[in-house]
Parts: sequence; structure tokens; C-alpha cells
Amino acid sequence: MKLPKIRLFHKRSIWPRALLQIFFFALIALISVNHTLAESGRSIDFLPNVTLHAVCPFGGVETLYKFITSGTFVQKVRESSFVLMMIVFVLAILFGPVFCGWVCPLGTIQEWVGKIGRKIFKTKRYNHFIPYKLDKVLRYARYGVLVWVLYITITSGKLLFQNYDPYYALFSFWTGEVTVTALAILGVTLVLSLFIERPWCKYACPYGAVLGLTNLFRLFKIRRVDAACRNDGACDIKCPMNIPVSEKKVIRDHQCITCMECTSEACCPVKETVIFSAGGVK
Amino acid sequence: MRLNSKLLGIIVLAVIFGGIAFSSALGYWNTESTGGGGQGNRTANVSGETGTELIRGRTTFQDLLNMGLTQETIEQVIGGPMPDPLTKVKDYCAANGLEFETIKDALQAEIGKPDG
Repeated sequence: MKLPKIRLFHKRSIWPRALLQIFFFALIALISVNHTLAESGRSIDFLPNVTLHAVCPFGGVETLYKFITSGTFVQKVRESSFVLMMIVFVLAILFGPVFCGWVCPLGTIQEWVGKIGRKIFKTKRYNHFIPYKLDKVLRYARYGVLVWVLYITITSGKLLFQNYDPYYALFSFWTGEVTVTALAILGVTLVLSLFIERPWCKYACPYGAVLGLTNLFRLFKIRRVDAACRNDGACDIKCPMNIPVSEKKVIRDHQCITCMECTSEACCPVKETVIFSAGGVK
Repeated sequence: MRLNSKLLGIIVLAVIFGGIAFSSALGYWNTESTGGGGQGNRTANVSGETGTELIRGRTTFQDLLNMGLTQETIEQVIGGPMPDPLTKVKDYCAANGLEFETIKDALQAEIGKPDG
């Protein structure tokens, strides 16, 4: 994809999203620290004493096969994971992978590191290091990861993905229960975030792969009003997932995370041109 | 129908925490282990509603014996002879390259068995 020459985008950001990202990152971090403290009898009273597995909706996806076939859960998966999985699915059917863009703490920390990368390489270069054609193919790698994760979980009956999971590593690195592999994957992810926005989400996240499919049929979609569009390409440059928004009327790309950074509420300089809505655009 | 980011943020929070509250009211919000390869129903919650027999990081092998597990059962789960009863299970796991969470879940499941 050729980058457009005109760059007239506004520097507004979607602050409610930033707020929720901070909130959920802090919440998960506190829950994880509290669980460690609780094991030595020093838990914080107002926080729940639960494991990281209990508040991870992907655990619900991993145990789905076992639940359907035998009515039981994969080891370590709690009923709360299952409930969260259903809640996130409801949100995804309505708004797409809003969990990825607004809630997931691993996505959040990649964005935070990415802000440093954006400062170093500037908006034009940052997040555009990988050739478009190669990038487009690599985006499907996460479906391979998803199939592999489901395979090893189904065949072993255990959450073996934990040994590779950067999310688990991020919030458990102090416990001594995280494998070197998971820590290495987390490290690589954070370093790559200096060059590419959300590298884990784009190329490897199995949960993002599942939720990304809802972009094909979700109720509320990102829509571009062609008649009002200046074709300045602001939306293309700002999209963290490199979706060519200016070339489409409705965004059905499997990588969209509903961050709304492309909309007229954020970078698009023309009012009511890139909008988030259900139903058609007049 | 159009949505702005403020409204979307509120909806996201409402759906997540409303969903948790709703499932909790129905009794499905269970964050405790249902034991190794746990059961997908509420009656199989072996952690106990009172939370008095939960295995934690400070739990010793003596605590396990006090919870009603036999030495034989414990040795089966840890795959070797039981150390000094005052040893913490977590420390034993760390010293022997075992994953505490896995051992904990397996022992917790044994405690939950009717004859455990």
C-alpha cells in the first residue's frame, strides 16, 4: 500500500478508550499482585483474591471443546473465565473486537511502548516497516496460532499455552511460575512494539483471531461516508492495525479492534465522515 | 444509529460488570478452582463455600494432613515421598521443579473428594 502524501489529521484521541485501558490494566495488575500477597496471608481486603486464569476470557475459549464434549473444564480454567468469554462475545457481536482495543492489558502495554516508537520514528515511518504484501500474509499467522493452541489444549487437557503466553508472563513474572519462553515472547513483543503497533495482536494473538472474525458480521461498524471524504489518508496512517480505511466504505477487516482512532471523533478532520454506527450511512 | 466513544466506553463497562453481577446472582461467577480437569457445574466446586480448606502458598504438608489427606494420596500427587511435614507445598514444588498451580489444583481436587 502506498502512503498518501497529504496528512491533515487531527491530533485528538479517543480519551474514554485510554481511560478504560488504564483502568483494566491497573485492575488486572492489582488482582495478580493481590493473589501473590494472599498466598503469604497479606492480601488487600477490597480486591478479589483470584488467579489470573479466573479473569481471562480466553480460558473459556480454550476449554470450550472439553466443556461441550464432557461437561468439564480444562485444568485451571474457572467458571468465571467461561462467563467472561460469553460477555466478550456479546460485546464483539455488537461492536467487534472492542475487548482488544479497549480492555486487553497486553494490547494496552504494546500501545504504550508504541508511543515511544512513534516518537522515535515519527508517525509516517512508525508502524510501516513491514512491506504491505508480506504484512498482509503474516496477519493470518494468528489463525495458525489459534489452531495450535486449541490442539495442544484439547489433546493434553491442560493450559499448555500458559508456557508461551506473554499475557501470563506480564502479570506473573514475579511468581517464579513463568517459563523462560513466555518471558522471551513478552520481551520480543515489547521490543517489536517500538517498530510495529501491537505486533502480538496483529501476528500471533489467538484470542484476537477469534474475536477478529466478528468484524465480518458485527452490528456496529466503522463506516466512511464517501461523499464527504477528502481522501487525505489520515485514517490510513493513524489506524494501528494498518487497515486502508480510506479505500473502504465499511470496515470489515478481520484485524479491526474498534479503537475508533480513524473516526471523525479522532484523526479524521472532516465531521461525520468516518463514523461508528449500526445500519447504513445516508 | 451512531455511537460515540463516551457512550461506547460506558456500554463496555456496563456489559462487563453488569454481566459479572448477573452471572454472580445466578451463581455462575465462580473464580475458584474446580479441581484438576474441573467440573463444569456449580456443585463440583471443591474449594468449599466457606473457603476454610483452600491450599495457598503458605500451606504446609502438615496442613494437608490436617485437611484429611493421607500421606499416600499426597505422595501420589507430588510423585515422590512426602518431605518434612512443616515444609510448605509451594517451596517443595519450587525445589523440585514442579508447577505449584498444578500440584495445588490436584491436591485441592483430592480434598474435595467425598472420601478425601
